[in-house]
Amino acid sequence: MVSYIIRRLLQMGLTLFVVSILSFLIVALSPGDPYASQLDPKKSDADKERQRDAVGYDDPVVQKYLTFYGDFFNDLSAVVAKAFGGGEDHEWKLNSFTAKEPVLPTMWRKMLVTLPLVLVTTLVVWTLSFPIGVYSALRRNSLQDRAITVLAYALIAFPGFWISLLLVSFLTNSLKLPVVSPETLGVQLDGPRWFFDATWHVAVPAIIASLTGAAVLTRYVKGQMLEVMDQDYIRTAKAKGLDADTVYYKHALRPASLPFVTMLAGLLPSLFGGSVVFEAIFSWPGLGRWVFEAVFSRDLYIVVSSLFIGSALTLIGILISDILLSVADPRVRLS
Amino acid sequence: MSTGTRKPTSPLRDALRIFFRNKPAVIAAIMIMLLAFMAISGSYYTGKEPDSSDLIRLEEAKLLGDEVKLGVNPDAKLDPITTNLKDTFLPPGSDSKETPGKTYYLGSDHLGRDVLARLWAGSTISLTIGFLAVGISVLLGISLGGIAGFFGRSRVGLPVLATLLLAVTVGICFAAEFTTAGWLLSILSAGLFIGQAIVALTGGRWRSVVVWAVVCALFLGMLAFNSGVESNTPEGRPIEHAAAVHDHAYDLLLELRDFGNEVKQLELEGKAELKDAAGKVTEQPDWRWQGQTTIEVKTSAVKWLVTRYNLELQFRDFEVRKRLGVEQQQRADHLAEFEDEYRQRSEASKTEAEALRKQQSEASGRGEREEAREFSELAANAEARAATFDPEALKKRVESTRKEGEENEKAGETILSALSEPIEAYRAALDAAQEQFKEAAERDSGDPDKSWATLRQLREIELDAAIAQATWNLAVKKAQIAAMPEAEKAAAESTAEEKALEDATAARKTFGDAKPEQLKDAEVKPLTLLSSNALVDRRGKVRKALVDRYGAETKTRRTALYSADMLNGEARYGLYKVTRHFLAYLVMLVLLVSVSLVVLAEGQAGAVENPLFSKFYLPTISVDDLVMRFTEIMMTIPVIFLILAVLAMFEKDVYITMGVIGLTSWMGTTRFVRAEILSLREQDFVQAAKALGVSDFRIIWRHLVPNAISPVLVSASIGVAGAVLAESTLSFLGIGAGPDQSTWGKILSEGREFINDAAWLTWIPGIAILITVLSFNLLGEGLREAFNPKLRGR
Repeated sequence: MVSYIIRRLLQMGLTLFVVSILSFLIVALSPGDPYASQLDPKKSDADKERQRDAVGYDDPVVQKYLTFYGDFFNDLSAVVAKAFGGGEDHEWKLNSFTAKEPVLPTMWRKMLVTLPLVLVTTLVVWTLSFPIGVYSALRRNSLQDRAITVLAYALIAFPGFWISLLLVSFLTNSLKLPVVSPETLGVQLDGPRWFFDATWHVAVPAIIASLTGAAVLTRYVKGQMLEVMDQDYIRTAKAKGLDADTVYYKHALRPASLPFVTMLAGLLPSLFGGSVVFEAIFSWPGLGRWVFEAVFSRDLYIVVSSLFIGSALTLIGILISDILLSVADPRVRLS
Repeated sequence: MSTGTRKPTSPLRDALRIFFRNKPAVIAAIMIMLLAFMAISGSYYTGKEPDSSDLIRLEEAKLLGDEVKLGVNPDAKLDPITTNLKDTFLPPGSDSKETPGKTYYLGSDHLGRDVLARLWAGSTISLTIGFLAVGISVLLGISLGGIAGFFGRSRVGLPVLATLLLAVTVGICFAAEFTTAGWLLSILSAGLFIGQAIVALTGGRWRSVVVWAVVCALFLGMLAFNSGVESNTPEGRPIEHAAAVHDHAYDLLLELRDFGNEVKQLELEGKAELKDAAGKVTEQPDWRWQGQTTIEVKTSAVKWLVTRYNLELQFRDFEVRKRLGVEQQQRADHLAEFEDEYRQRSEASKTEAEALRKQQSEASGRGEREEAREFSELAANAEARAATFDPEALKKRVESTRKEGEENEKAGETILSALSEPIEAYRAALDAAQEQFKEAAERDSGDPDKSWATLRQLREIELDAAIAQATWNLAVKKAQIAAMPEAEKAAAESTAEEKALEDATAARKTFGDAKPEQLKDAEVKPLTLLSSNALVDRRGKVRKALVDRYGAETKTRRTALYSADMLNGEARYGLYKVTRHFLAYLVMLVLLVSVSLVVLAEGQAGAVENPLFSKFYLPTISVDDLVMRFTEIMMTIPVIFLILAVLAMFEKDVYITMGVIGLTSWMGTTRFVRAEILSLREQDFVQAAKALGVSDFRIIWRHLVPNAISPVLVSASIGVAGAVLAESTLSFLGIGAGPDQSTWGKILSEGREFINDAAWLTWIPGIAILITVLSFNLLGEGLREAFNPKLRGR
């Protein structure tokens, strides 16, 4: 187990190295120099040159790469130290081009804004899809199963942004409910009222954002459950005379709930990519929107850092879910 | 495997039977056919409708065989582009307030455009994107997955791996501007590659090597053709000089920066006080003098490069003038052929116009104003047509064009022949000056007095070049005067240029005759040592004047050449437009890379059989590992940001979006094709084929592909749905589609602002996307069940 994890970590390091090169080159070699965007046109030529020197405008790409990742890991270690309470003063080296903020602390802050949205979304997806998927598998070809299947197909085919647009317009115009942004604007709330307000503002986008995911996972769970129910050992259990509940909930459910574990792998990276559209619609000042805007202002540091961290989180998620899968399912052996 | 009792049926027929029993899938298939019909007809029947003057112009262009860019579609039934502000926000089914008889069946949007027309036009783009993106991803997925699955267990030999790694390193070296290392490594990898090709040849595998050579020759030929067109046309030639200016200026910048940093260090140490209290320059280290001299030399060199560039620009204008003259004469000859045709059409239109006028006066006599106005409009149209096809006007046009063409050609000819000698002399003088600059810069040693000598020599070169420049200017002026019509000749004079030449010669003479002591203050500026601040200032000026300007120049001129209308008419420019397109490059590159991989594989296979080479083929990593690690890396990067980062580079265009979606979505297909092939290759029939000695290629094509194709079809069908959704999401976020392209996502995103006032603007494209995605998903599910009956009922 330990040697497996070490081997996987080494592999991860190699993959991340390649990813770091790829992501940096994609952004840094794109036409129209990304460094040019941060130069103030009003300044004198000499001042612009000094500013260019400060960001290494004329450096060769390799040196830019080394400087960037040197600063990046320096800042990253400081962020990690701060997160664990090591509150030393750190001079942030990586500052965004347009807003001149330190990149990594801002990213951390934005991540904390997005985190509740992603967590609640995932929670809603799981709590909806597992019971429904299992139910639909157990009552195969019944009216309810057909209805669920049709609904799931429709939800998968719906463009997520469209359905959320319609719902937001319905909620705000017809029901006069505030749903946009993480909290009600212009009102000072305290204590439990703040809590309920925040909960409401997280719940609405989370429920809307979870519809597509829930539909996909429902079908997946159903398929998994059906496959398990076809297995010989279920037939044996039935033949043995066990009652239906024991067979279904004790013997079939455990292997059928494995997608639950594999889904974990997607949770971490979905912090980054999963929420761009919903953050745009619900005006959440979250991570996805931040990076989306950074891409269009050619903010090299933000884009490359988030590509790198997103990839790292994906790899970590896959590793964790593989380990958990081997714990949950004894048939899976780590090798 | 219980056969015998059952009547054998074809598996395809079984699958079709199952498929047709599945009603939703059949409905989906019919829907998809309808959508495809809509998409195909959309490109023919939507577009800007031509008005009457457009129609006349189209008719004339058709007659003359010209290409016109009116941006209209003569067959257009519906117009998604024209805005009609009186008709904004009409709900579905309402009639136009402007045009009688026009109904907006699906309403109109905030600019009064017909939603139905936009939806129809958008279907073409959205579905094309869906299919092409999936095509790209399926192609990549099948080939990579197939390689990983079929050849996965064999290990890549060391030479192959080395070639691959070297190729990647070469790319990185060039990207990082390590050009020398890049060239060395590329020679090394080319050598390795050729060695393996030879091994493949000795193994009797000449087919792939020949194909590779053909592809290589095509690619190189394409590159040579492009650079040939660029450097052999008057428009293209200055580009290289602009690029040279840019490169030299950039070098100068780097030098200025490094030198400035050293000087700054010196200043920080307090040793760089330039002048003491008495105003005398203090003792400075040698490198400072030397560096300063080098910079002065380089600055002058760049200035002369700019002169060279301007010369080419000037010369280009003369050449273009001559060619324009020739083209104008050809055009006149071409126009003259159509006189009879023009006369016929003009007369027909005239009679028509007369008849219409008569009817008009009759109608107004009867007091039917509305009818009279209609007739008057028609008559005006006919008159406009008659005027356009007027044979007399054509004659005049022919004559004036021919006259102008003759003048231009003659003038261009005169100037060019008069300048053919001077320009050679001038070019030679400028090139010689460049050479001498280089020598001077290399000879300098760092001794202030020797630097002085260098500067003096520099000044001499400059003065010589100035004489050459003045001579050239005089020659140009004289040639221009010679090319003028007689009337203007008398007024034109070249005294100013003659004076300038005399002055330049005189200056050179005084400089040559004078003694060094006399020169020091008057003619040669003594070398001043710049402070680090002044150096930064100089750098800013150089960048602003040279790097930015000439960098932009090379870029815009290349695109100007690429899209130049002047280049119409010659066949090679048509070809140039095709070969210069980035898609052409992309296709050729992909082809080259894949054929090269095949050659490498053949080389390895040849070497394994040959005892002479086999010991060099140390097995390293397995093919499966190589492909799958690459796939994993691509899967690791967050796709949405990858798409965004790539799209931010290019201008907005749905076809680029399509390529990006295709290139970032092949990983899933690769993985399951690999799994499929892995399980298939263990099957008995494949083993039997292997035992029979069937070649790998034949096994793949006859046994593996037909068996693995059904899951690919399923995933492609679901992939189209995904690509349509992805495109609409990107368009919704405001990227993806260009300003004049209407896709479904874009209509939806534009309607977002008006969701309360005009809900149909979001509902209609939304439902269109929904139906498309649903149809493709259902079709995919239907195919899956049909090909894999085990899964039914899920």
